Amino acid sequence: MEFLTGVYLFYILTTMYVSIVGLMVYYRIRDEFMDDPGAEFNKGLSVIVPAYNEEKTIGATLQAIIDNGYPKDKLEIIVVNDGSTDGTVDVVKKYKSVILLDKPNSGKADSVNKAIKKSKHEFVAIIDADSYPQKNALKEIMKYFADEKVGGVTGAALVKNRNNLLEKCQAMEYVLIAWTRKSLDAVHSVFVTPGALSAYRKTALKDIGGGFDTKVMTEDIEIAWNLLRHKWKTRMAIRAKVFTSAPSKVKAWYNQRIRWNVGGFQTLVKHWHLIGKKEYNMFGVFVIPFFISHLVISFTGFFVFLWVIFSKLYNWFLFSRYSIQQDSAVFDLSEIYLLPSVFTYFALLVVLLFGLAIYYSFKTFKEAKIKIDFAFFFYALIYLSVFPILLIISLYLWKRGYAKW
Amino acid sequence: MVSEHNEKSVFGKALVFTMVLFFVGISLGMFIESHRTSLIEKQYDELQFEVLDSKLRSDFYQLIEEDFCEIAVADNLRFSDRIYENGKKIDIYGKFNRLGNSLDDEKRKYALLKTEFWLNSILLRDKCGADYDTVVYFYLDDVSDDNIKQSQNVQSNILSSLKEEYGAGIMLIPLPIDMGISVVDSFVELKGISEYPTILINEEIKLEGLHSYEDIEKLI
Repeated sequence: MEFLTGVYLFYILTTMYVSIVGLMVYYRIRDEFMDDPGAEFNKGLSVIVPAYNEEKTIGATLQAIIDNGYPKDKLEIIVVNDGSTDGTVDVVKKYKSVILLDKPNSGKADSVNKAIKKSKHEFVAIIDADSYPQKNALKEIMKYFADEKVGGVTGAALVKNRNNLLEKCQAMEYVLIAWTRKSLDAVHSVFVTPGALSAYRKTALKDIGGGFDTKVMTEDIEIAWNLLRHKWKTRMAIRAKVFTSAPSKVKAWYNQRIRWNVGGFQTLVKHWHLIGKKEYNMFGVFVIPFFISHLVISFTGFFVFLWVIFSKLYNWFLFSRYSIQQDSAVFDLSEIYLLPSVFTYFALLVVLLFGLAIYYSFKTFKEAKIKIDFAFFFYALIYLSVFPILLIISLYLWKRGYAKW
Repeated sequence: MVSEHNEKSVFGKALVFTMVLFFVGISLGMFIESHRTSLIEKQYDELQFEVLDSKLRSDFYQLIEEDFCEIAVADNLRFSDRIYENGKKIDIYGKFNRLGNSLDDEKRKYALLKTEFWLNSILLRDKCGADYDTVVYFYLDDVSDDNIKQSQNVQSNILSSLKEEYGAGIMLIPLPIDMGISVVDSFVELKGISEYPTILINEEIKLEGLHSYEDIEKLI
């Protein structure tokens, strides 16, 4: 067996395993996937909205929070203006019930930490200033805190803007991520509590060091890891939906992904030594290995892919050169053969598993209105293939000390 | 939520399920590949039987009548086409066999058959004055140098076009020289072939390296 065949089979095996774990977890819990987790737990809640130049969106975000259905007497809303240079402050001042903390620019994590200190309730929710929680999302999130071991809860983030191809791809991606995260919830492995909508128990935050790590670019990943590390539970409130604004332009999307990846590396470096340690439960035996294997597979896959592509291009170049030199056909349709091989079965199987995950996720989040159209195929064939390239760039930038929030 | 006990078991069960699906896939792949190999072997057996049958028929005709040539040449032409087509099939099947069976044994057997066919072609041309040219194409089967690989692919395409154009007028015999077949090795040494690809026309004209359709056409 050739080396490359072995590599392909390893990839297939890994992809199959991860997909099957996800699907098996889903099948086990599908009857209660969207279930109400229990009685209302409407304790005092401080909602923190960090904002940096968000004049266009923050008004709608604040309105969505105010109208969310959470008891007004239990709700405190704090906007931290992180040195905005636009009209963010003017918009916020129109909302009398909202507390405004104005400070020089110091980044999102630091802004949130300052607001947490100022907040009066035991529970704090963080909502990005371009995200719009759906009705009762706050109540749904709070229900999970009835369990005293729960330190952080995240909602289901979906994309609000779905106009161009990039936005549509992200809409599909967010749906798949939300569905996967709920499956991970069943195995105590929610390892990101995204900024679009997540809530925390202050006692837990104190326990892990006081709040968000300001040195990490993805504070929402790091805090989830830190909670898991300190044996707090992180949960996913699938009924707490929040629509968020995804980047509309490639440059903004690129910057966001680089930031996510670099933040992921920073988080991993901080916690990786706990890999395999059973005393940290699923964090040690699943979350860290899962994260590392994802990186290893992406990196090696990328280099194998590059090698295969360049080798094919080089051979095609040589073939064309010799063909032209000898006045022979450069391309011959009769040389194209389609025969079944071991990969035919596996390709069908992987497509089936991926298809099932897509089907169930799209079915779960009907409000995301995902369609099987050109964008879907673009997402599956092109969009996903770009990720390893972004990882490589991120790794390079991280090593060069990249720090752009 | 899935209970603590189930939480761990889901990973184990998924692993078992994955391994089952994986081994079903590997088994299916091996079955497909061995099925292809057995097809090639069956065709080889049939060809070998026909070669022997034809040889005996030639011997028989030589004994009882002078004019055996017409039948023998016709038989040889038929084998020419079949051996050539089967050889191509082995190459294609070899590319799709990913689990270890590279069809090397089958390639060697066919290389022997092709050598036998080549010698028979020489014999018939000399004895019967058959009107065809033998074009033996020496190439490396297991080649890591991309330059050689692609020049061989181009040469192979050119020769296929030539065969298509001239049909029974040429006996195209592609022979791998790195399969450890002593008769081929001896011939390579005898003719001093050191570059690949090399074409030998009517056992006399040696064309080393890559040659165009026109170059070869002029010599046949």
